[in-house]
Amino acid sequence: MRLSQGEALSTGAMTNGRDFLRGQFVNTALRLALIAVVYGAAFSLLHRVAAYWGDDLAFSLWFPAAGLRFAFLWHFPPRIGGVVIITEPLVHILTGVVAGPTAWLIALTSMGSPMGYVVTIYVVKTYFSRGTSSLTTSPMPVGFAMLLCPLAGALLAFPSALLGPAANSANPAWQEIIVPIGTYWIGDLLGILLIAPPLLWLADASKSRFRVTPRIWEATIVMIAGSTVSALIWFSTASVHIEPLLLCSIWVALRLGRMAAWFISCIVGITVLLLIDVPMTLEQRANLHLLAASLAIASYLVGSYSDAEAQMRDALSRKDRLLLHADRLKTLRAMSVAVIHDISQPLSTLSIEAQYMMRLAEANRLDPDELKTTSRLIDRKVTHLADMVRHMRQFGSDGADPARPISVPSLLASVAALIKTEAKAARVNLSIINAPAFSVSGREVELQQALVNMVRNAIAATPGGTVMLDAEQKDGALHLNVRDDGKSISQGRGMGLGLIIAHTIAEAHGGRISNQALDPSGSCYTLALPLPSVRHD
Amino acid sequence: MIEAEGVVCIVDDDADLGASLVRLLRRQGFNAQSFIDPSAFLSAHGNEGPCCVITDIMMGAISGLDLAHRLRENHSATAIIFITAWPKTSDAVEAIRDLRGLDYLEKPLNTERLLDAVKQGLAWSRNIHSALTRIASLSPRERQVFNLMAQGKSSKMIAQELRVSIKTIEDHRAAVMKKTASGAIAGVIDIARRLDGLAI
Repeated sequence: MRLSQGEALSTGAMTNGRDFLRGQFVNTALRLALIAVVYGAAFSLLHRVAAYWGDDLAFSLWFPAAGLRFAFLWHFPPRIGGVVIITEPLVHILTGVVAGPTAWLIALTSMGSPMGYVVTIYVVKTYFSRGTSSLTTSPMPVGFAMLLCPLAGALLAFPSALLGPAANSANPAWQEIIVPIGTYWIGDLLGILLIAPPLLWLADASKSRFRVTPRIWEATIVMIAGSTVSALIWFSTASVHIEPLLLCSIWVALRLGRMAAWFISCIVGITVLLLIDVPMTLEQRANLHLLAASLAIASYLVGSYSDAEAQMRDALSRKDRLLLHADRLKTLRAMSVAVIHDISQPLSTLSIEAQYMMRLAEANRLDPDELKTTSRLIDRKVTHLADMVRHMRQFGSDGADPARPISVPSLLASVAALIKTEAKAARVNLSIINAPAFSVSGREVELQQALVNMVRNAIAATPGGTVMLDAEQKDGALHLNVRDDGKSISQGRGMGLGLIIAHTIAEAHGGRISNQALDPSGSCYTLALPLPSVRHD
Repeated sequence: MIEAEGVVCIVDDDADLGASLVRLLRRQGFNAQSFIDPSAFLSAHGNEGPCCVITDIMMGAISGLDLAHRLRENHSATAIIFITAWPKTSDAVEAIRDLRGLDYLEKPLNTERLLDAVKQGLAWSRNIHSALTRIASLSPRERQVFNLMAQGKSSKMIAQELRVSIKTIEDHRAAVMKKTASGAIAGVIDIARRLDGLAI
């Protein structure tokens, strides 16, 4: 509910403006305070959850609060960073996590981690989100940020690690520095990978929608297979191996994207962390957890890459659609004289009849029979005009409709109707030989466009000659043929741009265009569409 | 108001427009018919009476211009008006210059202009037909004399040109005047002027 600055200032005096700005400031401050409170509460809650298993070394890896932190910092604008950086130490102090004489100092150093996150996210968003390669297309940047933030956080929290309860040596050796940092990194990373994605998806509910495709069955089968292999290994060797699950989850990530990857990581994580109640050494358990972590990280990255590639494919197909739309408009423009002719014809009759009717009405001589004839004629012509306009509007539309079943006879008829006048002007005899009652699945406007381009090409090749359209089922495909008797000596087939567009459309429908020379002269251009998309009506 | 004799024929492959024009012309008192096919019109059309044709140009195998060519080939005294929804300058020039069309109208039609052209065309056609009737009964020789008379040549000059005696020419002159119902030489010249350029 914000007034634009312009509206605000235009309401008059400077005092009004100042009041408004003050009001805006209060609004923002209140909003930030609210976010701080919500964040603080959630953060302390998750911190406590993590502390629940913090004593057991193997479990202390997982730090869910990091996921909350990442989600907030990625979703909200940069100034929330300030809120987060201040709130976390406050929470630590208020909930008594840090206590004692150096509490304030320790709390201050715990700002290092969120600061690292803020800086990393800023850098990724500014420098690594532009461009059109698959590494910079969403959701790859957020994937990179998820990897790098915990590392930055770990490095900046290093002082805290020295002062905190975990370190107890006065002169730390290298291992005692690297291991805590590594642990910190993995713990944060797992926390981010498991908590941040669902939070971000909830926040962007409009953007990310999981489309239910048949690939779900493929994923289910693959995961069941992997689980079966792991189970078999356990039954035969009595040791837990989740390597098969790792391979399967990467496959699923490739095929279904990062949402599926996350879901599988959660299931594997829960199973590994909570459900496996098998006696094993500490080292075995640590390895298992590291493997589960690797599974989560690898599958999420692979899933993000796969999603990024899918986004780029969508962008490409949008551009393709724009190109096809532009070509249709160009064709309509080239046919504009024919279009004007088609409109003038019914208008001629309309104007004569309407004028007559008007004169009769003015002279109060409305003979009912004359009225009937005249008005019927007017109605017929207006319907004809309306159909024509609708037809041409549909042809010039941006073609955003999905594939639908199209009747072959009506497809050929609509193409003939569009080209009829141009053919007549070139003295070409255009006819439809055979249109069996098939139906083909596709985008009607694009198939019309391909055929229109092929027919216009044929007309250019044989002025004064004959062009024939027909459809037949042959070689396991539906063949739409455009035959001309090519009497033109100069073979005036134009620059062929129309045919290139027709090829693009054919390929997008899973078909192709081929041509062969006819005896004694002329050619037959064939648009072949695959049979599974064809039904006999 | 009933117009004098003569028939208006409309040739257009748009049946509705043809029907509409026929009704319009009949309301104005003309005797009108429409044809969808130029060949049908050509077979139905004789040269019997005054006729004005309104033809569309773009009609498929036989265009309006082709139709006009055939009409002119048969020394037709038919007036031709062209209508079209796809006006081209080259067509217009050919229509008026080569085919001696009366007018070239674009669709949607200006009905005032069309009716004026039809009136003009029928008047012209009637003129020609009456002229034709008047020279119908001339023998070939008389026809030759008629042509030379129309050029204003004296009997002596005609006799020299045709290498006949002046007396024969005088006889022919009298016959011509009588058969063409011309009181004076002006009548002969008038008839000749009407038929001028028609290659009749």
